[in-house]
Amino acid sequence: MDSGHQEPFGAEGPGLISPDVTPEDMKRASDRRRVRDHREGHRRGRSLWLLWLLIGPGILVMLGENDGPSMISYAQTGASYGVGFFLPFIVLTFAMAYVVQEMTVRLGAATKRGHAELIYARFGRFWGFFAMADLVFGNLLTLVTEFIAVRAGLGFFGVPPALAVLGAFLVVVGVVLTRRYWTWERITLCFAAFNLVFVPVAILSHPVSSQVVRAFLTWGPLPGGVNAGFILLVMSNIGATVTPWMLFFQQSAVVDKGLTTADIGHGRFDTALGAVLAAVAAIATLLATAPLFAHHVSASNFEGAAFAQGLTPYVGRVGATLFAIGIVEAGLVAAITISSSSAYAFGEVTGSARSLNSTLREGWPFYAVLAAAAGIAAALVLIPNAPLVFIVLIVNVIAVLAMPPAIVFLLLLVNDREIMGEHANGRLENVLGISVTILLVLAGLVYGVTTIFPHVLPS
Amino acid sequence: MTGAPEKGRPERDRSGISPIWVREVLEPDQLVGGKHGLGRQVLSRRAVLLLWGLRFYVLLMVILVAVQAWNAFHAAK
Repeated sequence: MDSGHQEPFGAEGPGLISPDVTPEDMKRASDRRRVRDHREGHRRGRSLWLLWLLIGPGILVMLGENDGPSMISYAQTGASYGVGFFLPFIVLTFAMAYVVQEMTVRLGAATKRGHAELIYARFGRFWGFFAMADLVFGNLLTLVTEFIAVRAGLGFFGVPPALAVLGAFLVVVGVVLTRRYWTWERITLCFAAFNLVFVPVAILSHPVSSQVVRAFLTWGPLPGGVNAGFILLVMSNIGATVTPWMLFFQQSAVVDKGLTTADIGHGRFDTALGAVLAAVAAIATLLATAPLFAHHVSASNFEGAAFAQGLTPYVGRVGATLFAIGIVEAGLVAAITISSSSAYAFGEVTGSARSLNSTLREGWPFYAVLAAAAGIAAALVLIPNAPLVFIVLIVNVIAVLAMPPAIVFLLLLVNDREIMGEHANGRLENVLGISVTILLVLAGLVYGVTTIFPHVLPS
Repeated sequence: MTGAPEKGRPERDRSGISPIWVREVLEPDQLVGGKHGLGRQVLSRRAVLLLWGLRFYVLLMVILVAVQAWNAFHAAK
């Protein structure tokens, strides 16, 4: 099997479609035409409009990483530690995420191939199928937690669980049925913008500015000091900075969007902007729940809707409502992007369709995998007595343990001059990339092993 | 799945986009039918060792995940 060669439609009749141009190609060409026109044109505001055309994958991957469990984690951090160490720490984690994700932009733009396709082509069948299977399995478990978040968030508004989960599933499937990458991307970006609703919640919590500034300057205070629980929390946060689906999704989205090496600069900006927005939302979430710490409210057992309810005395009904909306958005956008990454990886490794521009006829395996991933996860959430606690307990461990192979392949590929040419990693990029990789891998391993064998850490 | 060509009526593009124009706008590697095989990467000795290390890591990872699944199963009961 070659690296994923998808045959185009056969041509019949007089030549609107030639043998080597597919409807997917035509849709992508339409999108690229606009980029070309704005790049070559001399209209006012051309640069801004070009930026608007080219952003997307980076913002989606970063805001998608601010998924349901992540936002709850930030909320619990704020409730447990208040305003202090974790504010600048969050900025650091997103800076590390940028270093890793930027490499996927260059890989996709230079090779015009997705991550799974490259692994399959360059490292063989075993690693290709392992990468795909590992990703799809991990994604399925993660999708369960996203639908749990949507259910919890909509539960605040009294929406029955079945309706909440079904509605989320229909949204995930509905956006891809546009069969147009551009449309899917813009709709998902609109949803993702709601990740910033945590900002007004943070404002409503009336944070003390001097405390916030002090936290960024001094990385303190740290209530309770450095103890086993703190170390574990830091390790888990570092280990979860980048998860495998992010690598696969952004590279595939870059390819599907049709970015080329001429767009790498914009791709970097897109990724950086996504990291900034996600960091702002994460910090806002922490600030929003800091009043719980200040008022000694125990939030260790809080989940989505419980946080919104617990915050009501401090941020008001409006703030609590916005918090719940944010949790719903976090789960929904992650469900959209994660299920897409599974479909991309499947298509790339099996040589079938791998584009949101595919027609239903040529892309049905792609859409089937996407719908199945979301559908199975949604069904698991609704099945009475389904092992949801079990899934939540293992999904983080699987995500951090699955990271080392994914990120090692990323580094090997991005240093491969045969496919990357002048866009391969330079010395600085390798220093940063390898340093971040070592940190992510070690932290993930420490977190994974100590979660499985908790007695390893002294109490 | 190889995505073999479909027989039957071709999908007609309503905007009347010319395939020649499509090939002008897109780079050859961006066309669905235009990708060429990349071939296997020639690995350095270090990379070969790294991949062998990864194989052992994957084995360890499967064991660790199984242990965690066992722990989680009992914790969830």
